Amino acid sequence: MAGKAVEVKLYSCDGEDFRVPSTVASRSETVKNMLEDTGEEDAVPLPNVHGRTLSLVLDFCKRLVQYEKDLQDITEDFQHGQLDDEFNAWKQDFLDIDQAVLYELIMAANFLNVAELLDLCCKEVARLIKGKSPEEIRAYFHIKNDFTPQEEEEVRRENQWAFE
Amino acid sequence: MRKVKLQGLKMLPAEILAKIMSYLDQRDLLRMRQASRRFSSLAHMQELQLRWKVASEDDSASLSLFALRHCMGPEDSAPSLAITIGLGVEKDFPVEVDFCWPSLIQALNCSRLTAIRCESWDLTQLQAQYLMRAIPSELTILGLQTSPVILEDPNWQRLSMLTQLIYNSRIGEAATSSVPAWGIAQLPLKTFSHRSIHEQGRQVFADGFQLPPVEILRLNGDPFSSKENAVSVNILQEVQLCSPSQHLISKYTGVNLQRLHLCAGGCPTTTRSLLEELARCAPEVACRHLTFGGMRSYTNTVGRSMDLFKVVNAMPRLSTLALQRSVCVHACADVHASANLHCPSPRDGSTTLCTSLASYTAVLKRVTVRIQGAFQLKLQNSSGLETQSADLQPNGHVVMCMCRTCCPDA
Repeated sequence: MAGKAVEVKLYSCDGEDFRVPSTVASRSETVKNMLEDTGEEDAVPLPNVHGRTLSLVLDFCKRLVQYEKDLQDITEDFQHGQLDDEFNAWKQDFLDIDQAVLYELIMAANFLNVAELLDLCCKEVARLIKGKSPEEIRAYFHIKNDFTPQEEEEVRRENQWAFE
Repeated sequence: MRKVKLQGLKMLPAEILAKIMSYLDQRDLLRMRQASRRFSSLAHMQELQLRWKVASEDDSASLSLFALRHCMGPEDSAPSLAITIGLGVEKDFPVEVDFCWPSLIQALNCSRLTAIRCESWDLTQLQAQYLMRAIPSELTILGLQTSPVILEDPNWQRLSMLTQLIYNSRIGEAATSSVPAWGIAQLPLKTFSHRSIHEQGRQVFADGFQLPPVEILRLNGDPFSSKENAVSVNILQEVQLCSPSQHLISKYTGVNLQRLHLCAGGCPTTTRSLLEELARCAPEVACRHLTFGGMRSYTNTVGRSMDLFKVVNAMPRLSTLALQRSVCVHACADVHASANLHCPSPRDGSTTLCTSLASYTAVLKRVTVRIQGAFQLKLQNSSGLETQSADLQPNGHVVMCMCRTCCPDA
C-alpha cells in the first residue's frame, strides 16, 4: 500500500495557511527549491502571494498533478484525447475570473514559477487582446492613450493594413 | 490596488508582457503598438521577432532586452536593472544577424541598464563577437556562459576575460545548493566593467571573493552537459593574469573542504595546470575525497597523471580517491608513459618500472581507491596506442601487470 503523501504547509502574505501534498506544492519551482533547502516539515512563507490567489494557484497545481497522473494511467489512445478535453474544459472554467484576479494570478505564477499556469494565464490575456482595435484594447484594459494625436496618426499610417 | 486593477495589463512586468505578446499574431501586435506608448516598442519588437522567427526557428534572444529598452516607464525607477539575454540559437546566425543585432545593441545601450547576464549555451563566435561589441562598458557583467570552443581562439581574450570573471562569480553559485540556477545576481558580486578588466579583475581577486563554505565543488570541463551548474575548468587555460585554479584552491585553504570532484574533461593542458595548482596548494587543503573523471581520450597526455600522483601525495588527508573509468585508463597509463615505463620503445628499463610501480601502489595503499566501473589499467605509448595493461582490483592495487614483458600471454 502506498504511504500517505507528505503534506507541506504554505502560508500566504495575509497569513492564510494551506496544507497540500508536496507533489502539488512542488509544481512551483520556487516552493520546491524552498522545500529542498529547508525541509518539508517547515512551513513555507510566500510573502508575495495573497491567500485567495494562492488558493487558485494550488487548485491549478492539484488539477495539473491529477491530469498527469491520469495520463500515466491510461491504457488506450482515445483516452488521451478525452483527458485533454476534460483538462481544457477545466482550465476554461478556471479562467472565468475577474481581470484583476487574472493579473494577480499571473504575478503569482511568475513568482512561484509555475510555468504551466503562467503560460495559461498569458495565453488568456492574449486571447482577450486578439481581434481588438487599439481603442477597444484601451477600453477593455483601462489603458489611457498616451500618444499624441500626431504619433497615433503616424503609427496608424505606417501600419494601415493591420487596421483594415 | 486600484491602480493595479485599472491598469493591470500595463503594470505587468515587461517580460510578462512580452510573453503575452508572443501569443499574438502580427496584426494584433501592430494594434497593440498603437494602444499605448508602453506597449508600442515591445509590440514592435515582438513583431520583429515574429518575422525573424520565420528564418530562425529557435530563438528567445533579444526579447527581454527589447522589453527593457522600450518598456521602462517612469514607474520603473529601480536604481539598477539586471537583464538576461538568452541566446538559445544553436545554429549560426544567417543574414538575420544584421537584422537583429543592431537592435540588440541599441537595447544594450539603454542608459538605465546597469547589469547584464547572458545565458548562452550555444553562443557562436559571430554572436559572441556582436555581443561583446555591444555591451557598453558601464554595464556590470553579472554572468556569461559561452562555449569553450570560442575560448580556444586567442582572438577571444576579451570574451574569455569576461567569462573568467563569470567563472569566479559562478563558483559561489555552484557551491551553494540554495542559490537557484543562474542566481548570480543574488551573490555578493563586486561590480566590474570590461573596460579595465585586468585591473578590476585583479582587484576582485586581491580583495578576496568571499565564497561560502561548501562540501562539494565540482569543476566540470563540459558545463553544457552538466545539470549541476558546474564550473568550467576549460576556462582556466585562458587565464594568464590570475589563475583561477590558484585562486580557487587558495580560497579553499583552511576551509572544511571534504570532497573535491574534478571532472576535468576536455583539455589535457587545463587538467595538467589544474593538477599542478592543486598539488602546489594541496597540503593546505583538507580534502579527503578526490574524484577524477570524465577525461576524454587524448594521445598527448604524457605527464598529466604524474601530476595526479603529486596531488595525491601532497594531500595527506586524502582518504578516498575515486577514479572514473576513463580517467584511470589515461591517467594511470600516463604514470608509466611519462616515466617511459613499459613502453614498446622504452628509454628506461624495467628497474624504473618497478620503482614507479612501487610508488604507485604505495600511494594507492594509503588512499582507498574507488573504481567506478569495470576497470583495466592500460598503458599507452606516445602514439596513443594501447600497448600494455594491468588489472586493477576494486581496492585499487595493481595486482598484475598485463604487459607483454610481464605477461607474454596477455
